[in-house]
Amino acid sequence: MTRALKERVDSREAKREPPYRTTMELTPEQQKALAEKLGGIQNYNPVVLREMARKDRRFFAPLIMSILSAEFRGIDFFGRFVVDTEDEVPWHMTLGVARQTFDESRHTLLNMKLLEHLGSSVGEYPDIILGPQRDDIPPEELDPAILLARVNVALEGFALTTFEEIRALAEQTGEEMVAHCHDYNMADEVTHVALGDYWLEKLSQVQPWRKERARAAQQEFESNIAMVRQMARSYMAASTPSEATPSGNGN
Amino acid sequence: MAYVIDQSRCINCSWCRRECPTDTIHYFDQEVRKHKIDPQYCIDCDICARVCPMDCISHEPAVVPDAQSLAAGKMRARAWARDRRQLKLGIRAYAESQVLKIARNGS
Repeated sequence: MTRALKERVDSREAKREPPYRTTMELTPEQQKALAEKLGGIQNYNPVVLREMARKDRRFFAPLIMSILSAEFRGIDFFGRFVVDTEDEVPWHMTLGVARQTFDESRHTLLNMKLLEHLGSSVGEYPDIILGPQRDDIPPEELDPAILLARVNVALEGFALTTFEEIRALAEQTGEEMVAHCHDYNMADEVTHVALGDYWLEKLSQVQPWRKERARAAQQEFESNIAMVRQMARSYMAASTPSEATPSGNGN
Repeated sequence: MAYVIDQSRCINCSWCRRECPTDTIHYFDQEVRKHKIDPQYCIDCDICARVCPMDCISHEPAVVPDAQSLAAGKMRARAWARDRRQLKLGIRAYAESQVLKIARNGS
């Protein structure tokens, strides 16, 4: 009989080369250099960078790196999901998630090339790690349906909006390559959300308790995002000089 | 008139719910795990139909909210638009101040 995939793969701890390197892990000199480039480390987030890129093309590179960082994590997450849940879920679901892992790898390559196109490269900017690390998730939350609700349905659902906003911005500012690639990425994200939703429903049919737990996990995820946004909003309101008046009509 | 979501094609991406100016698209409080539009506060703005990646939201002339609900929905939409515009302008002002600061510092 064929051995399960997790028995066949190397059991050593997975390592990424280069490893994840968040802003907190930079040396004080590197943090200072990043702050000088972006006006402060707190500006290294997609919401602010998108608006900075609207004013100056240079800020497209850190914006793309923030997306690329999430793609790296996507490979990690879906790759592990394939191996960890192989015995618990139907084989064609494993195949679907494996395809998703491949999609994330493709997005990674695409964004790395985009970085080069924008005159940057992997390593110039650190990783952005939002939300809990895979190892921080309590064992009872490692149920495939709950993971699907959090990542495929909730997170990838938010990614749709992010990709569309970047695509629209790139189109407005004449960054055709960025617009094209993010339109392409978004099409994959729609498939990922659909796949997650389909399998969440299927898994819940067999074990209905999963449906409510999954929905609660999704609601919690959204509340956390809303809280982070509110904090960012308060910070920006407090830090914007009163003489700064935005150009344009805000549309 | 109001909009309706084709439940068999909705993938629960939540985009429509997040964009709805009257907060009338429901998900977490639904018995069936699907997004649903409460026609009472739907003001026919068409935003949900435009963002839906599955094109599964359509106009349903047969569903008509009462005048009072429609007026309440429009009030909600005005507040939403004001809030959203303020947020957008706030982020933009902050970002512009940062770009100017970087330029001044010569980075």
